[in-house]
Amino acid sequence: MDARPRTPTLTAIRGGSDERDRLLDAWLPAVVRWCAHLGGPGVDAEDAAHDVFIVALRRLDRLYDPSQTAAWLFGITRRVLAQHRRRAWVRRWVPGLTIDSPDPARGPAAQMVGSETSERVRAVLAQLPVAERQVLLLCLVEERSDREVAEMLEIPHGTVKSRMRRARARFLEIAARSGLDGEDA
Amino acid sequence: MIEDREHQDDMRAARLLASLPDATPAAVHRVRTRVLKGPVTAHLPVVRGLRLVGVGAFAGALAAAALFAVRTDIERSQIVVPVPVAFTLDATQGWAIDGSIPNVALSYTGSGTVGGTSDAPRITWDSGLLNVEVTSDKGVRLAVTTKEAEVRVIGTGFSVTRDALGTRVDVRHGHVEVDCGDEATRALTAGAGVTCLPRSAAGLLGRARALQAANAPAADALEALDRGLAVVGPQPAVRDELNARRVSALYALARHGDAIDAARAYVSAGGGTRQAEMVQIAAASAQALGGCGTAAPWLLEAGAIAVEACR
Repeated sequence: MDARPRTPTLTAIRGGSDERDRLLDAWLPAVVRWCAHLGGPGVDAEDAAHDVFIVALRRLDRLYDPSQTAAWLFGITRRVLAQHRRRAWVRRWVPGLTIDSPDPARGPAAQMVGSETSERVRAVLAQLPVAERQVLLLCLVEERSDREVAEMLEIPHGTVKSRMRRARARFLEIAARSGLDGEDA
Repeated sequence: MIEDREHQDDMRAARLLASLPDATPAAVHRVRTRVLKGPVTAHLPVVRGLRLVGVGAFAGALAAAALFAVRTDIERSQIVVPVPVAFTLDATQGWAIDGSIPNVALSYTGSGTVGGTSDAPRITWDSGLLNVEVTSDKGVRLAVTTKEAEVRVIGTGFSVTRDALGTRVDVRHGHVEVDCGDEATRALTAGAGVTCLPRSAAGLLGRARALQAANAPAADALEALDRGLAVVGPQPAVRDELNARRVSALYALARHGDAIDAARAYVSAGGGTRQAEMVQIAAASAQALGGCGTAAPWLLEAGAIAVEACR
């Protein structure tokens, strides 16, 4: 499954509302997916994806090379998700603090039609560290090359490979404990 | 075997992950609508009320921390869509901080291109000498890539030279990480340097040529040639030249037996453009091993004049 955006983005960031629309068309599904799969408990993927694009459109002047759009957007997504995780932590642990949170029914996690298997896979994924979730998502779901993932995560090429080995082993181990073996998916 | 196992594990993990649902069009549409409304922050978490129930100073501190944590840095200004910049480095330029890349100064003799973002600029260096100074403590994550190497740096000064020998990285101050495309990433400190060798057969042939032209030790050239032969694909011209230069390097190292074997393989394979030269080198090696008698078969192949010359 190649889940990467298929629309070219080279002209989509040249300015103007039409071009901005094209950027959104090209990258919104990917960003929502990143937020849904990497956000973790308590993080609303739609809110996070919205914040990613608000930041991205404001900082578009810092993107020199359109071919780096994926890495640039993924970097923003990571930082926004970290912010949202902190907020989720606050919501869970600070007594007496009531925060106006979005209606959970509107989140893509709830909107995505989830089979029983997908829910179990999601639970397995949630048990992995964020860094390992990232490499699994980019390498195995989006089928990106090691070098591409290294650019997106801003880590050396060798680290992607070693992190991928650890992530895969841990993912399959937890999946096996949960009764998933990769044949029944 | 290990690769097979890893591939199978990849497939199993990928099958499981494939069951995760993708973002629905409805969810994507909702986010898009919110983004296009402009300065949308209505859905960002805001503190509706603080009910500090039965708490003292400790809870107050926690609430303050919470307020800090949920503070959003997203401005409520209109969205501006400026034009991005990409540019080319070419020929010669002195030291300059011209704003092209904030907090990065470059001097160079050669060519390359600049991309990435202002926080994480990426220079793709094609050939020549590139000197880099990155202002420290500005959070600039600069990467310089060549075909052979990737250099990552935060606040330091270094140079990258790319020529036929490969890519040489020298650190003047600070520290950098160099990835030569193999498993190991090298951490270099001030005064240290590393040369990342070419990885393609043609690149390694170029390195061997440059070494031989510079009268470098024949063993270094032989190493490059052997590496090139290990990775060469269906490129008859490159393979032919690698083999021919290997025979020459073996002769220079006085490994006459190996030189004769390599020359014989070259000649018997046929089709090479340097048959005559290989025969001559084999004859010279054979003569060095056992005199004109030993060299006779090769001398005969090289022609009667050569036989006479040996006597």
